[in-house]
Amino acid sequence: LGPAVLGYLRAQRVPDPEDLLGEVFLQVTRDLHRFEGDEDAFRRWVFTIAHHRLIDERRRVARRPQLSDAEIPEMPASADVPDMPTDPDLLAALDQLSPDQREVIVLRFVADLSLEQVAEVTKRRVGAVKALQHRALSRLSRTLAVSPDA
Amino acid sequence: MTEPGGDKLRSEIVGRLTALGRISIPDDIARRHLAMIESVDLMPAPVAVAERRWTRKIAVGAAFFTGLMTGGMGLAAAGALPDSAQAVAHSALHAVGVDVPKAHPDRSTDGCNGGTFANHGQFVSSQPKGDRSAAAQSDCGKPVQATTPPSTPDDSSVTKPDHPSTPNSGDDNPGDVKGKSGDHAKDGDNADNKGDDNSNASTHRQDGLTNTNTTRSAKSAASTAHTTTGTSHADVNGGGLLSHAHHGES
Repeated sequence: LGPAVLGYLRAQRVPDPEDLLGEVFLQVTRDLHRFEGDEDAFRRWVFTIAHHRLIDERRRVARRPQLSDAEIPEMPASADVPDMPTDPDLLAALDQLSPDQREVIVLRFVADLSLEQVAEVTKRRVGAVKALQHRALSRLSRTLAVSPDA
Repeated sequence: MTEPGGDKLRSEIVGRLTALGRISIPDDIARRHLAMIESVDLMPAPVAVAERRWTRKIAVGAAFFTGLMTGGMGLAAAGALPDSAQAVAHSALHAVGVDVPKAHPDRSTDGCNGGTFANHGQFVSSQPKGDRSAAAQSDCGKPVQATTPPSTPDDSSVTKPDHPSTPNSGDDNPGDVKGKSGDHAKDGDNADNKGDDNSNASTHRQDGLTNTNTTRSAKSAASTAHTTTGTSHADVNGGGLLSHAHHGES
């Protein structure tokens, strides 16, 4: 589950996914006594927590005052950034989806949840999730088809 | 509508998305998060009656978390986890993944005469009318945790009257009144108890996060203790059991 949650956070373009991953697992550990259910339910529960933490993080970032370019310190190019294999083209294509489409597509395939589980996490109907998934995949196909690496 | 090669492209995209969720967490990040978890008090609220279940949940939770973080057993196998996490991983990693605690506590079968009952009330109801007093005294169907009272030798002097057949008028010994369940709702006592619950919760939490949940957990834990033990508040909320549960895990 750890890699899946991290992938979910990365695909959602969280500024610091590793930090948020730690917060998610911290909450999972704290709230474990409240959880009841089987493995599938646990997976859904963890991603519900991740989903909520993601929303909190976005709200927090939105409230944070923006720094001007002049105040951003110079960073050495990937000096202490861990070398993690990612798929930059795919991430860029995900950026072009609507937030709803991206949420659904990432929960569905990166987090590997079923349609029903995605519907529960995002509080949508299964039909709506299906439609969002279809549109998202179509759009990703178009974007990646014209991408030079596709 | 579907362009040529569209299905193949979609399959490829799905494969790439799936792969994005399978990139393992670097060891240094996993180690940092485990250290953070280790520094947090995992005991969520004062709980006495469900001691055994809590202890098990914490053990399973810690082991489960280790598996979650590492995405495998590499760190544990390498002995690279923080000490307590390593100890937990060593003793309980077999529980990682699927072994989530059961929703309902185990029920005692003492005095059930071989039968199985969902709860104590069902057992009592199953007995012939007019002859249920013995059944009511039995442990059959009660949660196991409720049938194994904490080993505090002073409990009996507070909660058990010497002559149960003599009804207590309630006006001769105020000290006895406090030990009864059902008297907690009385005005001043109730307010005091609520205050105690909250203060307990705040002192047991060290991180300052999710305060609302903590208070609720503390209250629910306290109410659980009321309904299942019938002993006094002071006994239920005593710190000894908590520390015992916590130390048992570590």
